[in-house]
Amino acid sequence: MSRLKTFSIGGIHPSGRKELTEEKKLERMPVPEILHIPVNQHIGAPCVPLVKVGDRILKNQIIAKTENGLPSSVHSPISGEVIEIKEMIFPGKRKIHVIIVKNDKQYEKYEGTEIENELTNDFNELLKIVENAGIIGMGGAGFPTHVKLNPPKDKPVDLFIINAAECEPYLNADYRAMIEFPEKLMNGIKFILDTTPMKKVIIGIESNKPLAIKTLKEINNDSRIDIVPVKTRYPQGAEKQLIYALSKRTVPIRKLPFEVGVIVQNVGTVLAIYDAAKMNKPLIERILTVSGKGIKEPKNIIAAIGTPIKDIIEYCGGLNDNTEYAVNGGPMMGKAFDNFELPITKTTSGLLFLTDEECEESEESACIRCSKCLLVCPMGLNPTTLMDVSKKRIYELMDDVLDCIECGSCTYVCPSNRDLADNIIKGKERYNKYLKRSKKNG
Amino acid sequence: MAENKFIVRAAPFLKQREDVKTIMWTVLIALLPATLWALYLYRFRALSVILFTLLFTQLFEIIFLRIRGNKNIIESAFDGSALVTALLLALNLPSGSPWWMCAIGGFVAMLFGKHVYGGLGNNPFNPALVARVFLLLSFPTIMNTWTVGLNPDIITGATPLGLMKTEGLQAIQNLDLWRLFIGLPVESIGGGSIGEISELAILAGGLLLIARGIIKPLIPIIYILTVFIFTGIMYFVNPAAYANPIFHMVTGGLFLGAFFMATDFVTTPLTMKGKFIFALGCGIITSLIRLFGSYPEGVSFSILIMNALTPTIDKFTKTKKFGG
Repeated sequence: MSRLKTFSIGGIHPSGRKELTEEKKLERMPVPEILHIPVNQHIGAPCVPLVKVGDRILKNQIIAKTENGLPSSVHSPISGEVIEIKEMIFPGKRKIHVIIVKNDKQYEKYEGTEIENELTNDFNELLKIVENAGIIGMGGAGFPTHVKLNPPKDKPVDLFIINAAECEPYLNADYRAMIEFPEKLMNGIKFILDTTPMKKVIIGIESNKPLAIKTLKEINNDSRIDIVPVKTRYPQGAEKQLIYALSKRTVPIRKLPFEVGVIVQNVGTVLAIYDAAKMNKPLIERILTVSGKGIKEPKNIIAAIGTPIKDIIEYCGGLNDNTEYAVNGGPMMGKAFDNFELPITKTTSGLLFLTDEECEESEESACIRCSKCLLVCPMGLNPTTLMDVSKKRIYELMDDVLDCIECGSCTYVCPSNRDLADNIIKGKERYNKYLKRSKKNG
Repeated sequence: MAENKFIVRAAPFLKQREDVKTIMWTVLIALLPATLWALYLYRFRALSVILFTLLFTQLFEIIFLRIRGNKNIIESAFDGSALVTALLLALNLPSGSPWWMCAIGGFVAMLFGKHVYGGLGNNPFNPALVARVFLLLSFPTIMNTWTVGLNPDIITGATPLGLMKTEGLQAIQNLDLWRLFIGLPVESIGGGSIGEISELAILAGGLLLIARGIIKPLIPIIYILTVFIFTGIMYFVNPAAYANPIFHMVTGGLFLGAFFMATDFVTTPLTMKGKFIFALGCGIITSLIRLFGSYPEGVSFSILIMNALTPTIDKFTKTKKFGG
């Protein structure tokens, strides 16, 4: 057997903990009475609400939009009445306006949506469709997909990579999508190949998902599409790492994948693109894993964007008493929260409810310079030194913080329990502000 | 649900179950073969050195942690780091070292080796070596009295390296190098520090550290190889004046130093490039002292000198960034 493809440096092997929901079929969760739809779900300037309190809105209707910077839009998953627009505090102290919609259970569709139509073969048409459907990268970063699909003209892109690594422990959203909607996924990929200048596709799947690899290989009849197992090693699904694993192309630091002729999209994003093109259906729902030993009935669900997390907890049987953490995303990069009024968004790939036995608190002690963090950093950084200079705000030595991909591998291995990643991420914010300041001051 | 109190903190929420304590205890276990061999060779005369050194070092660790106002004294004192220092120091002492010397060693290791700098993680020099060199300079006679192994009458003799330094090459020409490597007693030859006798036992412990991922083989390999090549060149140039390089490998504290002290996390460089330079420097200095210096052995000095250079090495060796 040939050796599995993987990224070049660093990486860790956390326990996968996929078994909690691996076998759980996708369930469509009924849309609750009230949705909390955030206007800002993508990277970039927030969308501006296009509706006001008292308005009746329809399913699939655009309710918020922005043209600034990275354009995006937000649609309503239901028909009903806007009862309030208010600010809510999201993880990371981000204040975001939320449009609160009361579900009238009519699911009356906005004119022209969810009607099957002829697939386009025009690239610009595709970009328009993706933009209008409010599609953003569903792996977590939330970069507007139409922008990503359309790199600068002088940067020809030949390789399309589907990120199906799903390297975060617990998460099975992409896995379930691959084995339950393989045809749709392959049709989506072919459609994108047919309409864009890209010539070849590689689907990268971590080797711990043999059924997904087998399922896709069995139905694949397109020579342009390669299904490639990659080593189960975190962070295999990090964009630059996956590109290297599958194509041996190295994206230069602080550059985007198109610099080496590659575009990467996540499984969920491809499905959303296909829905938009084929059915004229905007991005109003997503697949996510609800897992952890804290939730009574771990599940993989399809839920409406804006569904309050409290309703998802109820749908999954409630929480066990020893639950200590609620996490939006995976256990390596997700964000902890304690307000269950918050909704899921387009980038919520999972909700984890972790107990004290899954996730221990440990006391931080002094760095013993074991250099494990240097060895596991997939970007080849020096995390322990970066943490120190970040904390002390020694800006002259902080430049490398900009290259951190925030994967958390350093914190994972640190025997002294230092919060390396967190401090470096905070350092990054600080350093960016410092750069802006010094630019302003000439 | 409302009664639950949820912890909000930064990711990741998974951790590898290997903390400082696990690492330190693994190092202690890795030192076990050499320790057992010391006990086998020197019986009570090794046992007392080991016990007194462990006892006093741990005691001073607690005292100094207390003085420094450590709030988590039980947790900090028993992370195993003081025991590692103590055992390394003990293995670097001659058999039959008096209890008070063990106590002074423990005191120096903990105070001047560790706590004056702010405790574990902040010390620039290997605490066990600081103490050893302190004792070597303060009590040169005791520190240079070597028991001839397995001899109940406690006859002393010079170590092979010492013999070569004072008596010249012919004195060591007929030594069985294989016996030296295994650590079997050699007639009329002083063994050396209790833990450095058997390169085989040290190697076994070193391999455990490598297998458990505690250390990378880079430092011991480069260090030993450098000594081998350096002394090998001299031997090749003038075999009448210089010893066989194998002789240099199986005598003195080279293996103990290379596997257990030149690999100390705290006092060695962070990057692989840095570790390479560190090991190379150790090898060169050790060879220079052994071949041309007035001391028969140079492992302790070379590691301490390279410890001093570690911040500089760290400053000038950068990691290679992915895509950079």
